[in-house]
Amino acid sequence: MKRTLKYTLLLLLLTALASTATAQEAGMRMRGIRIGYDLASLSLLYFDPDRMVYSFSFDYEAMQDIYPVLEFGFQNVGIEKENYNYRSNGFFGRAGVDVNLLKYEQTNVYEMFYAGLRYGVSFFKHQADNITVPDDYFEGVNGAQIPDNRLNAHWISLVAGVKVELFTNFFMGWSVFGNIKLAQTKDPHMSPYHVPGFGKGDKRAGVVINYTVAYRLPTGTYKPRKIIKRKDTTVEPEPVPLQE
Amino acid sequence: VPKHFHLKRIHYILLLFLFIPFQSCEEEGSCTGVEVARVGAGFYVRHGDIEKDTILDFFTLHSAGNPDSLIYDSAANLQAIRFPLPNEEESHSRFVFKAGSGTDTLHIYKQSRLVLVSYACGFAANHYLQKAEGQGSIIDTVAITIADVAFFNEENIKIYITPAVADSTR
Repeated sequence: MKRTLKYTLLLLLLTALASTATAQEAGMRMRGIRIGYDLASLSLLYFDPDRMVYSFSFDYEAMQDIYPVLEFGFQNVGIEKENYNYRSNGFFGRAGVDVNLLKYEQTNVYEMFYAGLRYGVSFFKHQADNITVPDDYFEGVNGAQIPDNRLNAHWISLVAGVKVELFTNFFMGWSVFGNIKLAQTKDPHMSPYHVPGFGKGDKRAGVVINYTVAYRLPTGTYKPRKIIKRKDTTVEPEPVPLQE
Repeated sequence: VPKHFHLKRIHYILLLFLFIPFQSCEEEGSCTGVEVARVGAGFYVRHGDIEKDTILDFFTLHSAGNPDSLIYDSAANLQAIRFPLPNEEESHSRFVFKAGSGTDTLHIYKQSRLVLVSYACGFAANHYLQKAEGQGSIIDTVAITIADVAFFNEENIKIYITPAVADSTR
């Protein structure tokens, strides 16, 4: 019962916020926290079924064209082979800023082509068991285990992408992250299969693609500093003199 | 269709789908077989301060506990050999080392650990040599040159043969 009440209140709040959006004043620009979910991970079901990623993003138009961004996510890896099993799980966070490179022609256009920068960090662990190593001469290895090892990685990302407002406050977009690793703890037995949020564990650099759906909570408006006016090519009608 | 649904936006969305196939670039390759890490050893002889490589004939090598399974069986004209080590984490291995009519025992003290060769192939044992020595009439001394025994064709130890044996086996 309490839960139903909580969700009803939340729904009412969202409706109220949405109605604020429609009550936007002329010349004002709407803003609010935009919450996104990365759908690109769904492609892993086909391309890399051993791995699953859940990734969320939060951004906010703090100033005109400037969007501070926070992203975080979780990753699970489970590989089962004839000669070993491998498991890894962990989370990542990225913080940075996006800069919109599109010039506005109207105040109520929110589509973006942007470039950005992130600092990323990931904490994760991995282990392997049921390891088999055949040996023709000496006794082979059967059912060996490499216990949990906790690792972390730090990197920076250069980001480029687009966001499109499909419906009011509802966005879709893609972004490409060019990741450059700064540091990673080493495991003498094995390099990680995949560092959450970064990419291949044995690589110094990697590319990650996000495909995001997002909803903006329209909590406020502000007056933008500058608007690039479209050249008006329509011909003004001649004023008709008033008949006396 | 919303009134502000520009054509430009459709272009952006189409571009989205061009990127999705890039995910497939991260797929793991296939395994073409895992090599066993073997110790590389070269035969040398020392006359005073002068060191020269030497060749052994009628060379036989097997693990001390495994006389029926020979690594080398009366091999001729050998200057270098490669041989496997046990996979146990820490071990002292003994190899019976025969050349010509002489016999020796090569002692290898090492540590081993499992390392991932690749996610496609799985694991293999890598070894770290701690000490190597001979105990008999053929081997004078043994020097470790590269302690990490991995999957490269490197010379990990130099086996110095007693000068008299080096001459007699030729």
